[in-house]
Amino acid sequence: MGTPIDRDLPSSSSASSTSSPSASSSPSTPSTPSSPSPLRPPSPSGASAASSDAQGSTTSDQLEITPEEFQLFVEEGEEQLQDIEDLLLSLEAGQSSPDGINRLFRAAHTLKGNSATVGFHQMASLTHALESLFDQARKGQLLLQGNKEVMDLLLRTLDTLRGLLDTGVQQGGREVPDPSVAQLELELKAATTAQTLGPGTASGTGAAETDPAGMAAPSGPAQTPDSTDDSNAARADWKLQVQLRPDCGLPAVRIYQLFTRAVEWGQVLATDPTADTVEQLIASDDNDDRDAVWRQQPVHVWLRTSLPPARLQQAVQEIPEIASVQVEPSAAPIATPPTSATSATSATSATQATQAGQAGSAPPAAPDALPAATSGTTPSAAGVSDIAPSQPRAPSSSGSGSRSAAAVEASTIRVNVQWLDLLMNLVGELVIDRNRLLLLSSQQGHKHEEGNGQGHWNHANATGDDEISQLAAHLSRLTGDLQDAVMQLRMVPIDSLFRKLPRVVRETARLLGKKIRLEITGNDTQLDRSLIEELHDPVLHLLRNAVDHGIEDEATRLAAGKPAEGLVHVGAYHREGHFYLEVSDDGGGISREKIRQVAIARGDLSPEAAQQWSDADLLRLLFRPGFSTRTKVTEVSGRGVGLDVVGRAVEHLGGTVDVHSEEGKGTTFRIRLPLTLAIVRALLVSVGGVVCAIPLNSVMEAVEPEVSALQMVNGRPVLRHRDDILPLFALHGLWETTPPAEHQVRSSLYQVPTVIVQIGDEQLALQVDALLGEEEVVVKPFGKFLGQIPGLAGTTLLGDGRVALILDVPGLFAEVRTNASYLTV
Amino acid sequence: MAGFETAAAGTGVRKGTGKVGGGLSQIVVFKLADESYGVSIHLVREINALQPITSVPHTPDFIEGVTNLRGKVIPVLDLRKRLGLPAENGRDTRIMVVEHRQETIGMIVDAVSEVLTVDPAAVEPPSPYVVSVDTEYITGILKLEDRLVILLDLTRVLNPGEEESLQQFAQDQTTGVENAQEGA
Repeated sequence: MGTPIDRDLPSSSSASSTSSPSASSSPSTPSTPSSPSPLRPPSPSGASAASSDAQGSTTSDQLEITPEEFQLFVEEGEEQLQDIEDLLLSLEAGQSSPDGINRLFRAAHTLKGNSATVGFHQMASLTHALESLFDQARKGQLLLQGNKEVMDLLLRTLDTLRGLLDTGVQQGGREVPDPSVAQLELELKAATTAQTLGPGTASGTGAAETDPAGMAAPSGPAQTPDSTDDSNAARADWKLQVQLRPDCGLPAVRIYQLFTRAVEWGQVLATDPTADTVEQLIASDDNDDRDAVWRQQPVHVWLRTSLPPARLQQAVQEIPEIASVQVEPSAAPIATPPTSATSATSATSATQATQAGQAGSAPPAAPDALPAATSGTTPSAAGVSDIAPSQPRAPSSSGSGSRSAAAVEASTIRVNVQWLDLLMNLVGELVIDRNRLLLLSSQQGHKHEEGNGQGHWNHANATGDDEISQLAAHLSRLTGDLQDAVMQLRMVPIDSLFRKLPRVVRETARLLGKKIRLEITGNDTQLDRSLIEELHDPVLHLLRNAVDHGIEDEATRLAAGKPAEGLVHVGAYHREGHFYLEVSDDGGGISREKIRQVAIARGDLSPEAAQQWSDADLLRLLFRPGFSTRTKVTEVSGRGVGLDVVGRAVEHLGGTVDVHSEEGKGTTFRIRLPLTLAIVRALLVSVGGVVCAIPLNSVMEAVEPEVSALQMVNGRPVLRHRDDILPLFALHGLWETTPPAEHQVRSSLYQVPTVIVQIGDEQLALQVDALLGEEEVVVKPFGKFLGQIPGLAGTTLLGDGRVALILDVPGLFAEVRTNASYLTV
Repeated sequence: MAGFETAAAGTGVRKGTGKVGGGLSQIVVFKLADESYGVSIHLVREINALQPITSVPHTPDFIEGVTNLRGKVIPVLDLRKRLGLPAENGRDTRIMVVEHRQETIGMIVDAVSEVLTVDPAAVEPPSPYVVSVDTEYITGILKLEDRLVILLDLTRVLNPGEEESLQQFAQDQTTGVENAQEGA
């Protein structure tokens, strides 16, 4: 990658010393998967040396930056800013991770070096101020957690940095001076020095006031002489051996507390069990007492801190259900691996541990052996990795496999999206050609059969045909594999979207004066990248909706016996070949009665019908255009602002949204999407000479109903199918100019092929001329010239070169709904 | 992202086929209902024989449908219908493929006759008395010795309607606002 960026090596090497050794087997790779990492002793002065290096390099070589290098800088810069934001917000939310502040510092430091390299001096100087502040925090001389003023300042700084980056991109790589930078720098410096007056002076007690544990200001006497330069020098490494009480109710939670607190005391070098293990134990729902082992066995934390041992001991004792604490000096921090809690997997060799870290999918260890649950990762990485890791491109881990940052990064490269799109298009073409070849070879086969008995010509040809059809079959398989691989390339974790959410919730909640906790799950769930982009607006909309209208105000919540803090949960997962995303809140829910009232007032349904409608039907009304105008709905149900927009956006992506809401308990919106849009399996049908492709994911079945099953109900054609009565729609009606409901659905003497499609829990019967078979089709959207066409998702090329139209089933439902309005009958 | 959007909106400015008029330029001449029409050769990519067209519902009547141009699906419009001339497909009917706002579009014309080099001096402003087509679609009239060639304003011809451009405009607006908000 770009050399100028890599010039910042000193910092990245110091980074790796704390985050994780490269997976390629450093000699110190632990022999037992569950043992803590033998970290290279982090050079205390390494970081500051690196920073001066980076500064020096700015002036020494102001070399030309190629566009690729600049692009790399921008991409990395955006990532680093996002990382910083994530870390800050999780700090603010009280989830400090063992390594959080170090990562903050490193991200700022790397960004500083990078921006200096590309000549973004304002950015470099602002990040320098940022870095200094984080450095203070890292040394324990500035408390970030719970420090709202500093937090706001930092977030503003991030915004300004983003702005510098953005305008820089717009100006083709030239930094545009931003007048607010100087002011921000001053503020940052003020914030940095405000609490850096040095321990022993007033600030020591001041900091202690803000920190209930009294941990913020180091109080070791050795600290004073060189505290401003490098407090690390005065630090010592300690090994904490903590024994929980045998009757401890929730060992995992206590360990988690211990780890979380330990970060505040100093630099956590390693832990046993690893942070990941503990996190998983907490996350797992089943109360199978997997953490029971820690009632007997001690927990270890290796800590580099300036705090005196007595103080450490006291601090640990503040955590409930702790039986005893031993603090021992640990000169060579982790040289001697501690007695591991498990010996179940101790036989596994070092190489296996390394491989496991790389693959992220090690064979699961015996389920009853607790720390072995993390055998999927090198403990060194796990021990200090983020409590809530959010690695892009992490191999899809199903619970037990945890993410090893180093291993993932080592096997990841950046690729320009354009290449992916090109590759996808080429594969698309290949799929079409393959279909064509299959068609030809089958036609060839038919000819062959027909012409049987025509002598030698056939004989010679027959072997050729055989080979061709074999070749076609092989090519078909290869193309399928290639297609899968390319599709996989396009899959990225939804994390890129999810990591924007905490900030949105923070801002919205602050604006509304609400206390909201955001919970995010499944951020490594993968989805086609184009879909993730398209999901951005709908998800943000649902999220704001949940914060604004879902969560009640504090008084109402307390009156209802709920905690004052509202909970909004955003989660993603895969199920049955689909991607699901849920946004739920524990707010007041949606009042059905009020929906009824609005619907009746709007004329959507009659008062009688309103009473008969099911909950699902009523809730679906929320997605009707206009149902959700602010004036109407806010005063009535407090819900549904622009939900029709969300509904349409998701339907446009070939997905669906549904709502579940329990009055008084909360509301869940669930988006369901296909994993990719580019290639779909479809049922081909012919309609008036045109071939239409109906995506298989919405096809329930194809039937040829008895003529008697076609009936009219209230002047609308319906199909009686099994016990259901389905609205019936003649597909050729799409081409007519009169509303579809006006068409004569054919009820002649012969049976008309009919395809039953389903979206959500609604079904629709489509009459077609003929069923042609299944095929994998490559979706080609209509261009800008034709724009979006109601009821159609795009076009595709058939094997014979004809153009087929791909039906947009949700759109078709909308068509039928608006035109026939069978719902209101 | 925002950059692309603005660029697209910028091309919407009505000054499309201005190539003809300043300096010598070449035009492709084709027939429609016994009259000769011309468009700048820069816009024409190729001329093909009529091929199967898949009709697309919910489109204006002058849109014939879509067709397969060497693996690419392109929309095809019937220029006669577009210009309000009587519909009729003859033997020499061709699909003239043009580039319009980075999109490839096929236009059905009666026949393609020749390529001419045009002297701007010979181009006169459109006059409703001379041609049967709405002057809205015309940039000028080329007077040759024996006949008139009507120079078409493709930007207007290929704009399916005010509605679409408004929609486009509205979209551009909202995207702009969102970007501004995110930047703030």
